[in-house]
Amino acid sequence: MIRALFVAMLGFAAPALADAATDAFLEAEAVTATQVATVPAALNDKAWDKTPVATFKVSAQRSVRLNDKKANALLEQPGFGEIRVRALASPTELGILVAWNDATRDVLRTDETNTFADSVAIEIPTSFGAGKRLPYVGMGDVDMPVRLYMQRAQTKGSVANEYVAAGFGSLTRVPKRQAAMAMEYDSGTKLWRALFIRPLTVEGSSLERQSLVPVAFAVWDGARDERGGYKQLSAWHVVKMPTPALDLAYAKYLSWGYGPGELGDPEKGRAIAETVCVACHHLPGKTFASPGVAPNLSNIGAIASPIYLRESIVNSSGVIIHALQPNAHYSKSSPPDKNGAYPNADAYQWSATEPNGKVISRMPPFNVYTPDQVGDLVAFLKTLDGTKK
Amino acid sequence: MSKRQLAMVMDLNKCIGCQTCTVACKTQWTNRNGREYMYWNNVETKPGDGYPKKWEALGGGFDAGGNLQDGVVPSRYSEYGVPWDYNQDEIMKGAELAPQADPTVGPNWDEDVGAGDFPNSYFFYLPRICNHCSNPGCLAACPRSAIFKREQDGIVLVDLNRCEGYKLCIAGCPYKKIYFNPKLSKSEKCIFCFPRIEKGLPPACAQQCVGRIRFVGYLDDAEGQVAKLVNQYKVALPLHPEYGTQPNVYYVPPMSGPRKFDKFGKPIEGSDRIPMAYLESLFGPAVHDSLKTLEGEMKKRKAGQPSELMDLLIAYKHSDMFRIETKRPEGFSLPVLK
Repeated sequence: MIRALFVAMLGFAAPALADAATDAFLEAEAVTATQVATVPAALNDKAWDKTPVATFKVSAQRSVRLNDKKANALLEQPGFGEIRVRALASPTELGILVAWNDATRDVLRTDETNTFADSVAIEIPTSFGAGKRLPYVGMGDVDMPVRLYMQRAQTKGSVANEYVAAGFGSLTRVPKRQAAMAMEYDSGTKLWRALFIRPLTVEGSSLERQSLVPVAFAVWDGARDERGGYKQLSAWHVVKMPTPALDLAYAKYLSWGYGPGELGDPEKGRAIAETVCVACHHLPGKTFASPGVAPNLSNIGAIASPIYLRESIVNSSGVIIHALQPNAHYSKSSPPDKNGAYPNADAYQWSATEPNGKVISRMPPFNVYTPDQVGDLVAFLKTLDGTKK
Repeated sequence: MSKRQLAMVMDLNKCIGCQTCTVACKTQWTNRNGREYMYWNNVETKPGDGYPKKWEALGGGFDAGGNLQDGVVPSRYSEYGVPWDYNQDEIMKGAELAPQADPTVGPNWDEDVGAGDFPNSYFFYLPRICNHCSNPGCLAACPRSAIFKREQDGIVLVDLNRCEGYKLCIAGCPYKKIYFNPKLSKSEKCIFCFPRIEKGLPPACAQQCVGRIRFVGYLDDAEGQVAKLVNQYKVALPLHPEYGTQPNVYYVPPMSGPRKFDKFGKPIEGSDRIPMAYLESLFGPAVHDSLKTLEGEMKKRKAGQPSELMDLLIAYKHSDMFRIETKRPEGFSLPVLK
């Protein structure tokens, strides 16, 4: 306790004490918010040009596989690749501007049944900060919900909604939207820009007195039939708020794996992954497991942070994620009910409920590995960024 | 899954293709608010492309192991067909009757075309609604658990508050009987007229059926016509059972009708006008026994002997075709509609 206080005090006095891992993490994953009196609600306000821009990778979600034949074929074509993000913070609001290049403007259509709209969303954990782990990047998980802000392009402007979610399939609209959102396409530069402004404090969730606000992004390309789980998403990033001083403890947690030598040898990690993990997961070129039994890891490095990967290996039940299509496989070997209905196949459920009511991950905790081996595994998984097969 | 299952049997030998069911459904449910292009009930000519166009080639359903299969979301322009009107005002001023669009596809586009060459051509009508399957492909595809089977009768419904319009249900349904409402950005489908069912009335399509082809009742009601036709006589069969969804609309397959003619115009004894292989491709191998039973019972009746099956299918009283007493599971209360 005393030591923690000491560290915190030092932190206030000298933020430069952040270690090499924290520096590397912030360099790679942070967008710095500039302090303003009020966050401008206009996309073309000059204040946005004056704040630093961060470029983040987005990658098609492959951890789950859905059942649209055409969208599955389009998944093989290159996506947007990256988005550019800016942030402004006022004493009461946080504004985030997302920009990305898109050759075509696709909007919600009221005359066609099989087209999709360009869309964008950001998510922020409901609860975060020192001592709290990051939620699963794809809409949170059972214990760590997220707040989501989403816009779908329509002929004029966008349809904007605010949601809470605690994992796949749990997205639920917040009846009274508190965030302001706007979305605009420049047909000359082929650029989408989308603005999200949320109050620092909303019911049940506050960004106040936080120096690092985790945020993740998703963009949907209508031309690739993207919607729902067909999306291009980023890893967790952080908004570095103008105040208070850097929370060193939280920064240290988030930046595990960014320091030199922290991650270990990806080739040793590959050897473990390609003999053990492949029993349930798909890896590039290693697709023996029945599709859907477990998340496909072929580009997991692009969306999962090292700390998340470490936690989900050693303490798998600490992160409960239900399958995205829990009813997509039924058990033909089980007897059907009197109406001929077969029950769901257990093998395709990612979670299970124990007799005492506790929900656990169907992946056992792999705590048999030494910290070095876990570092090797994470190093390997981080190489799976979708750029090579 | 559901405690009971409401089912429908359609006797294809009595369908005259009048589309009264289609119109009953349309005026009741789909003539407004983005549903104009939808036909929750349609009657198509078989063999034929059907509605939406070539729906049998659009995927969905399950493989033999029970795994959901990829499917395609049809286009309003090229598979369903955009509703059009005719120039009714202009023809009063001397114009020729013409559609106010250049339609290329529609819900009954290939009516009566069928297959085969004169004088041995053939076709029959196939009315289609949602099959309210026991393992629905739409429900399996929904990542939001927005689709559910009602406990008390197995009717498959969409919770529009949870639907986000992802259209995976449309890809997942092998019968393409769930539709996207582009005005509401949500999926909608045949609801088996559940508000009517709750009042003890049959669905509008069944009530209005001119040919009296539709039986409605619970599968576990052993005394009911539906259970007798499906389970006792085994003459009513699901459409495309190989799609693996366990459909709950059953069809009495079409009997072959007049025999084929030889080159002199004489009937060929024992010939099948509708090829058995084609019927088997629609209703599975059980179609052979079903037709044998139907022919046997028909012979008995012709010989003046009693046949319960023939009496059932004749349906002397229309009201006898519906057994919809709403026996609900103990402790069940109807959800309040908002």
